Amino acid sequence: MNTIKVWDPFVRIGHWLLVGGFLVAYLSGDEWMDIHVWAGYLVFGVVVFRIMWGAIGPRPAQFRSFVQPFSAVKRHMSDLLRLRPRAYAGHNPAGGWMVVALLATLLLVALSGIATLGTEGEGPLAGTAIAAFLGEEGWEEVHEILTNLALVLVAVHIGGVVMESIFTHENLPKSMVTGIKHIHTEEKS
Amino acid sequence: MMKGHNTYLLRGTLLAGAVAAAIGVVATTATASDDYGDRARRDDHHAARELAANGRILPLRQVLDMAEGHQAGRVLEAEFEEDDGRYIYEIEIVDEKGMVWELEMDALDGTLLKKEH
Repeated sequence: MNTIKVWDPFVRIGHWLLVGGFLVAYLSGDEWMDIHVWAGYLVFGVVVFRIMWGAIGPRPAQFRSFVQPFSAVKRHMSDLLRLRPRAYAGHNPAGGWMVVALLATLLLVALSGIATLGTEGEGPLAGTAIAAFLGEEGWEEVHEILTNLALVLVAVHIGGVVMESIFTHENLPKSMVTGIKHIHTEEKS
Repeated sequence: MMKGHNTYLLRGTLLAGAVAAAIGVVATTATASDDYGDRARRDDHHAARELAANGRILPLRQVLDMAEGHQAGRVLEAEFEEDDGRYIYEIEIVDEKGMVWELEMDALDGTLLKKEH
């Protein structure tokens, strides 16, 4: 059994900053605006960083290394249904698209939050046409709907991680801390 | 896995720093430059409660009575604001013709400061 270092420190730290930032932002929601806004900026920053890192980071962090055609996702899903998923060094094909979906959704959550802030006369969009476009209630509505979508994605993401961890005997949450994955010999079937 | 581990370490640190700096600058300059009115509004009801408790501003109920003396009609909305160190109640009243009047009243003594529609 070999070990490989898949996740660089920026991917790992970014991942857990996102977890923390999203959690804090979600919980501080309506109650604690200052904290909510800063947690939101943190999430925004990490997402922007991760998107750029997906272009210029090391190979496993790059989008082109883990965003695979839908045929690969289909094959992975049917493997999964037959309870025989193969192990992947980086993300599995479904996981790769989950990364994209989560980043895109969180980006939109953050942007709609900044727009909502703008309708209250704060933040970079204060007094702009973008803020006025939907108004306070409109943007807040969009912000909440997108947040709920993000919650659903997070739930599916965690479900997928648990499933793959069980099937591949690889503690994936731990990999996201240490950056290390193991290559099991039974992987080649 | 990586060609030049340190290259990526440097590159990632620079990128993270740049992103953090950019967002920090945008977020703080925008907050600092906004005219403060709305930022204060979020804390206004705390401030209002405290001031009312200390007897420094008139209670809303009393101000509403005074406002209805200036303009007959139904009260649509009442808002407490601090504007350049002045405490103001902003009250919207709709008259029987459906015209909406906006009254600004001094929160300390109830003086009518502005009435417009």
